Parts: sequence; structure tokens; C-alpha cells
Amino acid sequence: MVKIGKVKFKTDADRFCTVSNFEKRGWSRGHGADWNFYWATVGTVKWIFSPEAGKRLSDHQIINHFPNHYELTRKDLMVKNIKRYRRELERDQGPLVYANGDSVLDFIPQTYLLPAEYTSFLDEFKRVTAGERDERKKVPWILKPSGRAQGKGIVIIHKLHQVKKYCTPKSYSSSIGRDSHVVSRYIHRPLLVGGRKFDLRLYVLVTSFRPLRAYIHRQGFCRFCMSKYSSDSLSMSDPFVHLTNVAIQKHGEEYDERNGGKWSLESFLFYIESTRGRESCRKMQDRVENIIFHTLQSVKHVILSDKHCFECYGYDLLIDEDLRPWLIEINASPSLSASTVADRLLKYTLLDDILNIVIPPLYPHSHTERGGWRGGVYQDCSKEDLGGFEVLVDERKER
Amino acid sequence: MLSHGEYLQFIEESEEFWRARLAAKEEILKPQYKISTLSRKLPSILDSHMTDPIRDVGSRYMSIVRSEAQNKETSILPPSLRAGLAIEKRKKKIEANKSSSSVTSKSTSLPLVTPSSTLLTPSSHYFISLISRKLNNVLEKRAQDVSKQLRIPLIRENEYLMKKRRALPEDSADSADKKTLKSKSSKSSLSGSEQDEEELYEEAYDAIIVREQELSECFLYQPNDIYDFFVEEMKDIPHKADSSMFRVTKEQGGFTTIFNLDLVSFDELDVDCLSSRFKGLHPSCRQCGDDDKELGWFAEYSHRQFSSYLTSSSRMTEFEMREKMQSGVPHGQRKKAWGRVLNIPSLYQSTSSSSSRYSAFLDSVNTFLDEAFVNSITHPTLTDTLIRMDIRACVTNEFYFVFESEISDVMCALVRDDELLMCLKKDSLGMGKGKYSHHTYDHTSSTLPPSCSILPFKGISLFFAPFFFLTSNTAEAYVLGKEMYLRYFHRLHTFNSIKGGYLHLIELTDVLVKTKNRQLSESLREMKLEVPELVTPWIVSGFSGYLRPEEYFVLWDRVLAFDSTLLLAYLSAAVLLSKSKTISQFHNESDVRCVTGDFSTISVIPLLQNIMFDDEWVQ
Repeated sequence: MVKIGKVKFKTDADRFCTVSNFEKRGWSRGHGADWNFYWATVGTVKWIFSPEAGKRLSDHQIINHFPNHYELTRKDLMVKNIKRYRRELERDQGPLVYANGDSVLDFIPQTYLLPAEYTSFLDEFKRVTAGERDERKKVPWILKPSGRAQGKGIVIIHKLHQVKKYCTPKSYSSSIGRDSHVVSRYIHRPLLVGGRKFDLRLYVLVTSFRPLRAYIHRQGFCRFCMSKYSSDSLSMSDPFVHLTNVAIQKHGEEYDERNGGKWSLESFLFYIESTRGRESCRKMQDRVENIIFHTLQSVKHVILSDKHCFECYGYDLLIDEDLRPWLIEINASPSLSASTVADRLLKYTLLDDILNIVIPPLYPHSHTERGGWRGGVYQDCSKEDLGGFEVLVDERKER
Repeated sequence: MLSHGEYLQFIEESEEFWRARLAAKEEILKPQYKISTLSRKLPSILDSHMTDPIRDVGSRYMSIVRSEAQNKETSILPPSLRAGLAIEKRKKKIEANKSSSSVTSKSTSLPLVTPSSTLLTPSSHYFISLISRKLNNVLEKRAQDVSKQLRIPLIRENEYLMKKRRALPEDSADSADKKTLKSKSSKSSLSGSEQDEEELYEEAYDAIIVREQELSECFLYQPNDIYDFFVEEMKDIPHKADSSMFRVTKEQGGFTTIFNLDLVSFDELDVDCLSSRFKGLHPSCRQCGDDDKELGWFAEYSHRQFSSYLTSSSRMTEFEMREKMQSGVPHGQRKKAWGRVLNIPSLYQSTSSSSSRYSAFLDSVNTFLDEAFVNSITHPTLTDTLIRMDIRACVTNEFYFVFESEISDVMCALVRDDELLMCLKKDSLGMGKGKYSHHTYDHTSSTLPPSCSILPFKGISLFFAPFFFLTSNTAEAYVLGKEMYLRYFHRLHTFNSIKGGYLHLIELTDVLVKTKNRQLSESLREMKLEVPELVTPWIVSGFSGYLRPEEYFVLWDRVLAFDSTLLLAYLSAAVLLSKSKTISQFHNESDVRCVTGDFSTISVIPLLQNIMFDDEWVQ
């Protein structure tokens, strides 16, 4: 169904794929508070929903973030939420396990919040890393700032003293504040393709948390490190070997603009199926979907499920040698800037598909008498309009 | 112009049927031989063609060597040339006899596709061979130019082979150092002498890299160069030879074909013939790579079927496996299935039982790969440099960039593999003709080709890139790629008239497009585009780098199953036909190239089925 109407859109930063998508639909630019559809940055959303703004969104306004999306997208809060969710779930239902005995909820590498959980981290560090005499078996840790993106401020930790400066009393005062960090076990046996480390980026669209309704996009991609992977201690300090962020990799010598170090999800799945077999590939996909499902479940009751909001999360996953996916982080505002032609096409389609789902027919005219749309994000998208998305979970239907 | 020596060599190197023709020609000289016996021997050719091939051959020779022949006594001509002269004389007699009867066919136009033309006409074959030789000479000259440009002497090309044969002691020392080269980190642990050696390697390597970066793109030739060269050469020929017989373009059976090589036979166009020959591909059979995308049960079913075929207990032969593969192979089983068809036990034998023999084989391949890598850095040859440039230019696409260094390893080894030289015989371009073959190799001569006899062209590394999707083991990919090269790929960039070779395929594509949709080829011609030119890069690369990897394998599953590269031609034609509507909207050459070069939405199976089994299909 073509959804065209006199919609006024607003963006905080003009990107090719947003603006061209809006204009293709015949939308015009809105100004000030006069807008129907806002593609906003997280900062703007925070301000719009803050009490100082004193605003209420009208029925015909749709915005691309949930007010407290950070419950899922800040590294420390995500870990906290998942830990709590796991405790609750295992208390109620007992441990959930896969056929091979791995816990279903064991999908984030062991992680501690710094400075809050410093003592627990210290015990674990002493047990696992310092106790190991063999240099090669020493498991490094990776320390990330909670609220920063694009690989900024990430350090790989071998010795305890490297951590200490992040736990100064100054930062201790704000235990979960702007300058808090998370430290997690480094996945030191990642799956390598062509000898290089990569991570997997998947796009998940959530149109409502209560009831939970989420879609997963077929077109993800792998982001590759440009240098060959090696786990010895010297190369550990080399970001081109370990960090897959495009923001970092594009400064590397071997970065190639033609491919941007990106491999389509399609190619990746084909590679896995061909080299590891159909079963393993399917198991891996199941696990990935489980991860997404449970992370969303973990914040279901925490997030303010405002009917004007939808959100497209960028999930970053790491696959290890046994094809077990690990959740690295979730991004609230996945970069819509494109590095290659294929990338631009992907992001354009992604946004197009998102709009097809969240924008009601005849928007912005309400038509309660006909379709039952009563403002906010459209929830009754038919199967034909899903585009590249697939329904991941729809609690309303399950009921 | 052929010298006598070259002429003799040419005779030697011709393919079988050509030799048969020559034999027949020799026979004609025998006094007791009668014309009637000849016509019985070659009835199909004599009857179906307006001119008999022997006269044709003779006149070709004569037109080319005429100037020489005029100045020289017939006796100094080589025997076969004398034969040519004799044939022409005899031919005149025949014509005199026949002139009373109605031999007016010379001027009438024959349909391009005659049922009997499954036999190649000697005229085409002769010219193809001639042009192929010329092309080789041009390429050798080009190689010398490139060698000067890159400052890498050609004399190095066969060093590796020579060294290997002499079995110099330093060989074994080399192989151990690959790892130190690859990771620069373990410097501290090296002893003094090793460190020196490593530095030396690194210096050598850096020097090459710098030089390569100066010239970011440098090729001996690109696929389209072969085509252009061919067209150019063909243009010259009619002036030298009987122009009614051989024209670059001529009206035939209602449409114009580009070079009338008469390589295409009737059964390659007939729907009924194709339906019986390519039965497994027919829409009446469910196809892996198409139906399994939609039908979960079918995907499951075919997966289970193939698992049972490929268990070590089932002793399926190569041929039985081919038959099973006609409707495709599920992705996960491909490596084993292909291993079975290509007869590479190390790919399909399970790793657990009785595999020591095969793993030892793979180990030896690995050692060779290491050795070749070290050699390519310590003694870089022109071929190495060209290949590295090729990899940087062609393999960095969105599908294969991940495997860049693996592909480089494989290619380094491939050009040092003398087994290829032995297997390829005289087929490849720039191929080691007798004088370069390693038995008589003169290491002071400064000519290409490399030990493997393949002159690297732009895109050669794309042949080997897809195999990394089948296996993460470089040695396995190498073995697989080598076997595929020997069986199929080399034909695609070799300039000869064999069935399923490059020329045959482009002509088949041309004929297909013209019979199915004449308007398309005409509108292309208006934009100064020819069908063969457009499809040359696709066919020469076997669609690698064009099709998405999944689709590439779906296509090659069938090529292997039917043991026929003809499918490449059908697919090329189908791709063009499927885009004919879009093409008709453009009037600009570069736009059309852009449209036809977009393979992102192409799915192989429906296209093949349409063009092969549907008489009416025109998009």
C-alpha cells in the first residue's frame, strides 16, 4: 500500500537516505513544533519528553525513539537489565537451556559495571586472568565507556593497574553516570572469516513494548577488521585488529572504499551454511533471534511504551568459533550515513521498510471510523507491507 | 604471415579434426586417389556447403602465402603447402566438371545453423588458430613491455621451476619462514641470522608494494581485448581471402551474425534437443537454488537426500553423482558433492576414518602453498606482480574482499604449479609452446610464460575467489580451484574453436539473442554495442564477480552436472533478453552497460529454464 499524505517531516541531521525517502513520499519539511514525523537524535528525544519541555505529542505525531531507550542502548543499563531479567526468569521458570546445555540467557560475555561492581570484577580477574601462568591462555578484558559510540574510549586490559584509573573516587560518586564503564571478558576465539575478525549488525524495529511487537530485517551486514586477527599480546593494542567499528577501520591503511569492509548478511549466512552445514547455520540463526527476543523482554516493563514512538535498534553481535553469538551492544541511532554504494542502498531500503510499517495509511489523516487507527505508530501492518522485515515477536497475535 | 617453421608447428598443434582434414588433404595427392572417394569421405561438408572445405583451405593458404609462393619454387614449400597448391589445382578441375551442373550455391545465403555443422568448418578453425597465434605474439610483446614498465625481468618467470628441479638446498629453509613474514610481531624471539633474513624479505616485499602502488592498474590483457583483437583481425581477412566465404558480418538466414564461425549447431538451439539433453534442469523437476527458497519441505528433503548420497558408505561414482546434481545441490553439501564429481577424495572423505592419506595430501598442498608464498616474496616475478594487482583491482568487491589474502596465496601457488603446465597442453593463451615446455626450457631466454603457462589477464583471480565460500581451508580451496581450472575455466579464456570454448559460447549467445529478439540486438547495434562484446566479460570469468555467490554456485552446479559450459552462453543470452525492455529505454552505451552489468536481482534457474525450454520466451 502506498502511504502518501501531506505529512510534515523534520530531521535533526539531513542524510541522503532519510530526506530522499521522505521526499519520495511527497512529504514536506515541517518547522518548529509543526511536524508529523520526526527523525530525531537521541538528544532531541530526551528534551522533547523531558518535563521542562512541557509538551505532549499529538495523535498525528510519530517520533523515532522511545523516551527512555537508553535502558537498552547504554551498555551499563543493558547489562543491569539483562542480569535482573535473568534472575527473575530463572526464579520463576528455572534455567532455560539449549540442547547442548548452554544457557539461553548466557549471551553476554561476563560483564561488570565499573566502578559499582569493582570488587566482584577484582575477584573474577584474579581467578581467571592473574591465576593463569600460561601467557597465551590469559584471557584479556575489554573496557568500554557506557555511553559512547563508534569505538571511542575502548581499551583492552591485561593487567589490573590498567583498570584502576577508571575507578577513581571522583567517578565513584556517580555510580551509573556519564563516565561509568563496563568491563567484560574478551571473546578471544571469535569466528574468523579470511583470517579476520568481524561483528554482525542486525536491524530490529520495535513498534511497541507493551504488547511487545518487533520485526527483524533481513539485510544486516558483517563489519570486518582490515587486519588479520591475532590474539597475542602485542597486537592487542592494535585497534585495526580488534575493533570492527567502521569509524575506526576507515582510518586503517587497508581500508577499501569499494567494499567498506562490509559483507552482506546474505553472504555471511551462505558462507556459514556452505562451510559448516545447514544445521549449524540454522542453530546460529535461532540463537541470534533468541538474543534479540530476550533483550527486548528484559526491558519490556522498564521502557515507557509511548504510542508515538517506535525505534530501530542496531544490534551488534559477535560470533565465536563454535558459532555461538554474543551480544556486544545495542545502538539506538544506527548510523544512516552510508560508506559504500551497497551500504547506501541497504540503508535506503531499511528506512523505506521502516516507514512502510510505522506510518498508517492515509497518514496524517485519522480515520478511526474505517481502520481503527487512533493515532501514534501504526500497529496493524499487513504481511505484504513488511518489505525486508520479518515478524520477530507479536504478543498481540500470540494472545 | 606464417614462416615455414611456424606453419609446420601450426599443423602439429591443430586439433584432431583439423589433422584429419590435413590427412585427407595429403591423401588427395596420391595419384591413385579419386575425387569420388574424397567426396564419400567428407560427404556432409561437401554436400552442405557451397564450397568444399578443402578448396577453401587451399585458397586460404594460397592467399596468404601467395606473395611468397610467387617468388619461390614450389619445391621449397613445405609438403603441406605444396599440398595446398595441388589442391587448388585439383579444385579447378572439379569446378570445371561441376560448372555444367548447378553449383550456384556460392552466392546464395545459407542459414547459419545447419544440422551438419556440428563439424566445424575448417575455414573458421584455420582462422581461429591463426588469430590465436597472432594474439599470443601480441601478448608476448605486451608482456615484454609490461616487464620494462614494472622493471621486473621476464627471465625470473621460470626460476622457481628451475630451482625446484635442481633442488637447491635453500629451498627447504624458505618454507619455514612464512609465518615470520606474515606476523611481524614475533621479532624478539628470532635469532640474529633469522632476523637478518626476515628484514631482507621485508625489504624486498616493501619494494614490490611501492612499485605496485605507482601503477595501480596494469594488465597484460582484459577479456574484451581478446574480443577486440579478434574483430580487428577478422576485418582484415576478407581482403586477403575469398570474401564471399568469410566476412565479418553477413546476412544469413534473415539475420546478421557477427562472425559466422559456424560453431553453433542446430541441437544447441532446438527446444526438444535441449529438453532431452538438460532434462534435470527442466521446470518439471524441482530445483535446488530456486524451489528450496520457498518450499521448506523441499529444502529439507534435498538436504537429507544429498546427505545419504554423500555418506562414506555410499560408493557413488562420479557419473552417478553428476546425475543427482542435475537439479542442484543444497548449499551445505556442495563441497562434498563437487569433490565427488571432480574426483578429489580429500574433499568428500570424512575426516575421521581412513583419512590420514587425504589429510597428508592436504598437508603437502599446504607446504606447497607456503613455499610458493615465500618464493613469491623473495623472488617476485612479473606474473606475481600482475596477479597482486589483479587481486587488488578485481577481488575487492563486496563478496570476495574478505578472502583477499587467501586468494593471493592460492594464486601465487597456482602460477608455480608445474602440474598445470603438463595438463593444459597447448590450450591456454600465452601457453608454453614446445620451446618453453619445461623439458627443454632454456632459462636464459627472457620470455613469458610462467611455470604454469597461464598469462594472467584482468580478472583471473575471480576464478578462484568463490571457492572460499565452500571451504575455509586454503589447501582445499586450492585443490578445488585447480581442478576446476583444468576442467572448465581455462576453456573460457582460451582462444580456440573447441565446443564450449570462448568463441563457441559468444557465438551461441549471439545467435540466441538474435533468434529470440532481433530488435534487441538491433537496438544494441544502434548504440554501437555488440552482443558478444557485452557478454565477453561474463563468459570469460564464468560469471564470477557478477552473480551473487549463491547464484554463481547454482549455475556451476549445473555446469558440473551436465559437464557443459554451454549453460554460460544460455545464461548470458537470458540475462540480456530479460533486460530487453529496460535496455530499449536507454539510448546511451554507458547506460546500457550499467543496466546489463547489474546482477543483483538475477536468479539463474528461471532464466535458464525460460531460454532453454520455452520457445516463445521473449521478455
